[in-house]
Amino acid sequence: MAKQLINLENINVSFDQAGNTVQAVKDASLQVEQGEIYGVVGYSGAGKSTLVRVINLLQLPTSGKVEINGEVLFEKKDGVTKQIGTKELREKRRNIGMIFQHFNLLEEKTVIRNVEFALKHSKKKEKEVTAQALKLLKLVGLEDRKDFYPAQLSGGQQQRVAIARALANDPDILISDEATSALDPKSTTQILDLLKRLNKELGLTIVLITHQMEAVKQVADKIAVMSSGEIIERGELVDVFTHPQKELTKELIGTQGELKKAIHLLDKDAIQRLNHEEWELAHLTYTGTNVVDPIAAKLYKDFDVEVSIIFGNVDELRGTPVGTLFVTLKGAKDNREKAIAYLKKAGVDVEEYSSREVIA
Amino acid sequence: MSEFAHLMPNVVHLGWLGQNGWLTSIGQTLYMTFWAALFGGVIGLIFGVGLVIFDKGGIAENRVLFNIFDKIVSIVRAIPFIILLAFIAPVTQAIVGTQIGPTAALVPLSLCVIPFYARQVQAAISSVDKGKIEAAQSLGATVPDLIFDVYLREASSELIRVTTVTLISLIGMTAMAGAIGAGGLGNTAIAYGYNQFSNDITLVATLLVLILVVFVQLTGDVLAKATSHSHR
Ligand SMILES: Nc1ncnc2c1ncn2[C@@H]1O[C@H](COP(=O)(O)OP(=O)(O)OP(=O)(O)O)[C@@H](O)[C@H]1O
Ligand SMILES: [Mg+2]
Repeated sequence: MAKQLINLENINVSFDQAGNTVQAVKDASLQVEQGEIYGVVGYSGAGKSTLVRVINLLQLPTSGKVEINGEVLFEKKDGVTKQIGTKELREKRRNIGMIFQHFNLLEEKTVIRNVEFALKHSKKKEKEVTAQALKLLKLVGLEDRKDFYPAQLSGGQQQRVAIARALANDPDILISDEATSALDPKSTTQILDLLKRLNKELGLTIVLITHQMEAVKQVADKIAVMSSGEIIERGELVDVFTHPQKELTKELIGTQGELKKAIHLLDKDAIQRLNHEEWELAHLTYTGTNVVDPIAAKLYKDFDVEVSIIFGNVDELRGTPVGTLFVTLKGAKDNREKAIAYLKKAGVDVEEYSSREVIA
Repeated sequence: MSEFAHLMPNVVHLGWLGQNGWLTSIGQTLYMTFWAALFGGVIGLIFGVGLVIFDKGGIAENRVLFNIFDKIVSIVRAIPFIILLAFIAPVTQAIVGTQIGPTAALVPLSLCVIPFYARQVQAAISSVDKGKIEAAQSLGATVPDLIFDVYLREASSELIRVTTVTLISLIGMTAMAGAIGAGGLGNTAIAYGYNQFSNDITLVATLLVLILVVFVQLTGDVLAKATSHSHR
């Protein structure tokens, strides 16, 4: 088992604002193992940023325990607070890189000075600092822009500088708070590919906060879903995507939207038919590719169930293809039941929709 | 030259040098402006930075220090300059040994610059994006790093702008101080121009102050632009 690098236990964070208390994070626990890319998703205001800012104590929790690499940085239980000193905390922070939605580069410093700034307190000599900064700029492919100012770079390039800066002290952990949210799709892909590469090549552990599902789909190993300060669902990426438990998760993943689309695509006749005993709408989800083709034939031959595809989609989750099919099934009720049982046994996730849901 | 002497007899009469000479009064104005800007500017800068870092949510949050800084700045700022001049005369006497002349004027001038500049510095560095501070903190930056590399450096262009504004209003104050015997162009304009009905002197003194102000403004604009890299 891999080493547990981040351990947040029962974290609560509340803010006092003009007499009102906002509980931004509620009893959230998060464990991240070395080498993982952990996605944290949820709507705006869910508490994602607040929770991850607790990792390097940019945000002090109201209660809970923060343990990084086996060392307790903060613990507050039963009114007793333990916290490491400011000097140590600064050193710990250098082991936790962080990148942000708006890059937050120093605009009055050149690219290389931005990276060198991160190395200000390293024990390296000036020459080594410059060499290290250059090495990092090379890593993100920007060594030729070292004397540019941030404003002279594109958003994607600025984010790469921010990554170089965050990695200057060879951290074990990188926290990415909406790092791709302000970027166009192409730059987003570039940044995500870079993060994936850093994860593979340097063994960097990454906590990726985003509201872009596409981003977690491309890179995350595990995800946690946050809502109103709580982590409501978590697990391996593929599991959560193929078997979402909570309504909110389904909504985020887009299952709801797909259902609407499927219904939209059904013509009036088809909707009428769904009212009939022998018809139903089903949503099939499966991993791997070789499942698709034989399904329809098999269901017809063995169970006398006719399958017609309304629409289908193949997604990639961290390289694993995940198929989604909205189909109508036609056949006698128990035949359909048998067919669905068969599908489930074959590893296909089936969600059935009653005609009432469809018509509503 | 003779035509000029004919046109502005009193201006010429004052001469270049001597106790009332033009060069002398220009020199006094520059002297007061420079030293008051230096003393008042440095202390004002410290106050301005303090007001930001000690504030609630600041990088070195400290309620007591913040309140002290805030109260001092507010109170001194509330006293009109001309009253301050009179009010601190005994202090001036104790520090510089006299209550009149350009050096004596430095005490009230500096004192007046402090809160004026402090508030503007406070506004300038508060405009630095909080995200930059947070990013620097995530890199393990110390409080001095945050002050010098982030706040002051990132706001440098804005700081030059507010320094320009402060210098210009300081030049105005030196003229006022001139009115109560501090010397300088203000003194010339009032004592030899206005009081002796020598309009030519008033006119020339005004023009010289104006040239000084425009020079400071233009220099400030150029410098502010040159130090800014936040736009392409
Ligand atoms: N410093 C603060 N003071 C007061 N309230 C805060 C503060 N920071 C966050 N909050 C509140 O805490 C809640 C969670 O905010 P947070 O920024 O963690 O959400 P988020 O999930 O990151 O949202 P987004 O996707 O918009 O970034 C919000 O209701 C927010 O208003
Ligand atoms: Mg956020």
